[in-house]
Amino acid sequence: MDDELKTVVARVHAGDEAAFDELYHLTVRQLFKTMYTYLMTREDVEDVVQEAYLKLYQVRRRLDDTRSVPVYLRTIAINCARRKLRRQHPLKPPTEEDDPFDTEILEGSVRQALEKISPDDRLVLGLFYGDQASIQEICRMTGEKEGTIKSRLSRARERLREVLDHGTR
Amino acid sequence: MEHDDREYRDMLREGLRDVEPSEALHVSVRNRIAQNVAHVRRRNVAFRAVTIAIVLTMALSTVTPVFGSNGTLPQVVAAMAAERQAQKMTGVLDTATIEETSAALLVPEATVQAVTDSALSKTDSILALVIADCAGKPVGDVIALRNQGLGWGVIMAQLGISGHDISEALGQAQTVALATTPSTPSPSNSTSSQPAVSNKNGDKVTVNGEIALVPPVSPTSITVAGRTFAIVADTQMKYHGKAITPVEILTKRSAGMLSATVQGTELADKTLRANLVIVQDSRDTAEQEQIQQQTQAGQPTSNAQQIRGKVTIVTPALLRIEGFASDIVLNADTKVEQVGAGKADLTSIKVGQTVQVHVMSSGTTVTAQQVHIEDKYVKTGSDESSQVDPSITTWQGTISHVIVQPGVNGASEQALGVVVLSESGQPTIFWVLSTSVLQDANHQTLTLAALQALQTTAVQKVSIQGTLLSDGTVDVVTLVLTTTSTDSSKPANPGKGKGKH
Repeated sequence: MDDELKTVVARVHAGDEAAFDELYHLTVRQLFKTMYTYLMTREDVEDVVQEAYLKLYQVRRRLDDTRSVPVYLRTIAINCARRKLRRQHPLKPPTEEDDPFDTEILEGSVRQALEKISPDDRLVLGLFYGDQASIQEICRMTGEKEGTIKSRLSRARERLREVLDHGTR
Repeated sequence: MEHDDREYRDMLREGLRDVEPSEALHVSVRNRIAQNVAHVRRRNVAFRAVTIAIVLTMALSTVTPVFGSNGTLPQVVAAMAAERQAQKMTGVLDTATIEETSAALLVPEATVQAVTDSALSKTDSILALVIADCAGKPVGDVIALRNQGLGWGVIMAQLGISGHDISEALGQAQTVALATTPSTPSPSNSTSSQPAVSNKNGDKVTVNGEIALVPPVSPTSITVAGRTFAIVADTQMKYHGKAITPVEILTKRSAGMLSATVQGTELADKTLRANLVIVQDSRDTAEQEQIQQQTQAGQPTSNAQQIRGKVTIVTPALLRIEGFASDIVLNADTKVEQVGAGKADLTSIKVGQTVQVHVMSSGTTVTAQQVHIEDKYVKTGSDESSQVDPSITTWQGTISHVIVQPGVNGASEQALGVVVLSESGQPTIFWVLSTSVLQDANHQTLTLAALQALQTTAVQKVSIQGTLLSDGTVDVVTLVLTTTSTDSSKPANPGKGKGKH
């Protein structure tokens, strides 16, 4: 995966237009899941992902560090998502109409547990467990301090465990 | 902890297992990227198009008159630069005369006059003159082109003149103007004498400075600021706007400093030929003349003035005041007034009176407008008789001697006769009667004894009013001495003074 990503990033950097399509396919799946953890609505996630890839495309010629590309992509996406959330403030709770798949894919338990966690805590949870990013990488992506990230992670875990063990009520 | 992490990871992965990006998202991303690419491409194309348009316009403007009658871009730029410099020149020549402008711009006065008479602005006039001069064309041609609406850049291009030519010509003209225009404040004019200024424009030479006496001005040459110009038949020589000859220049130069601005041409043999010589008084000379005029004693320096002094001669038509060189004309319009009498007439003016006269001078003629007699009016019987008796006449002259004769006119007592010589030397005997009023020069009563003593003193002038008798002698009504140099009422003191006795 890393070797393949490295090759693709090099091609993108060299100006290969088709390589960006490959970069998309290599990275979009995990980005989508992480942003879903954060925003919890498919429509918002799609908007954020589109915008993130568009921005990545605009700076594609400056991509030269394979390891930084996923981080950079998530940083862009997080910033887009934050703007989106600010525009939607106060954050409305997702409904079934927002995400008709949820009932089916989360089977109630995990989705309901995530909904009980704040978006910022969910984001850290998704980045840490979904993307398997380190605390330092999360700090870079979110711009928050390590202690804050750890607190959010701890709180998110605790809340998730609590909901899963004792139900959503 | 490690176990917990795996558990949470698995839990999340399992919980989000079916959260996958759709193919529609991929299509959307591709479309947005494509739109962006198209947008960027359009923007780049537009930017390139604008850039190309600007470059093409600039390139085109160098060869095509894209600015209409103002010509190409370089022509517009050249015209703007020339106009800017001409505008500075306008300031320098703002109050300059035609001659000074002519000298500064190296063009004949007639040409300057022609441009001045045209409807061109000052800046345009200067540019027209300079362009015509540089191109060697009549200024009328340049004005005609300008009147067609052409910009100066186009006109310069048509006449084959560059902006550099204009700049150089205007720069030199400005230097000359600063040196030759009296109204223009410049270091050269702040001193008493003008330093020499020499400019060369091709074969044209302009020199400004003082006219040298050595070598002297001759009918064939003139030396200014150390440069000798040949005077030829075509040489125009001007002084205060009028033609002047070399001989007249020499005369004036001998009398005082003269400066001149000479426009000339350097001939092939390096000699100089004068085309135009503008002669001016040097500042020192001009100032001296002005001061001399102002301080000339007794000379009327303005049309109206006031004179005060003693009357030395008075006739019905003429008045002479002591210390005033000119005779003052009296006429019917002359108003006379006297202290104590108010309004008076010309007959009230007597020799020896102190008068204040308002005069108007016209050329060499000085006419009295008003005579104010400061001596107080004294009413006498003779005055009354003179006013009623038209036979009373006034005589003036110099006392020759005094005679004493008995039985005149049938009188038994002695009579005193004063022999007076008129200006023509004709003697007349004036008989002093008991009713005669005798006054000295100070209008004090003169005694008979003092009058008799006059024959032993110096020449004494006298003014007498009296009645002419049939034998040619005169009975005195009033006798007034008019000479003050000798006090006739007192005998001269032989022990004092340096005069003869």
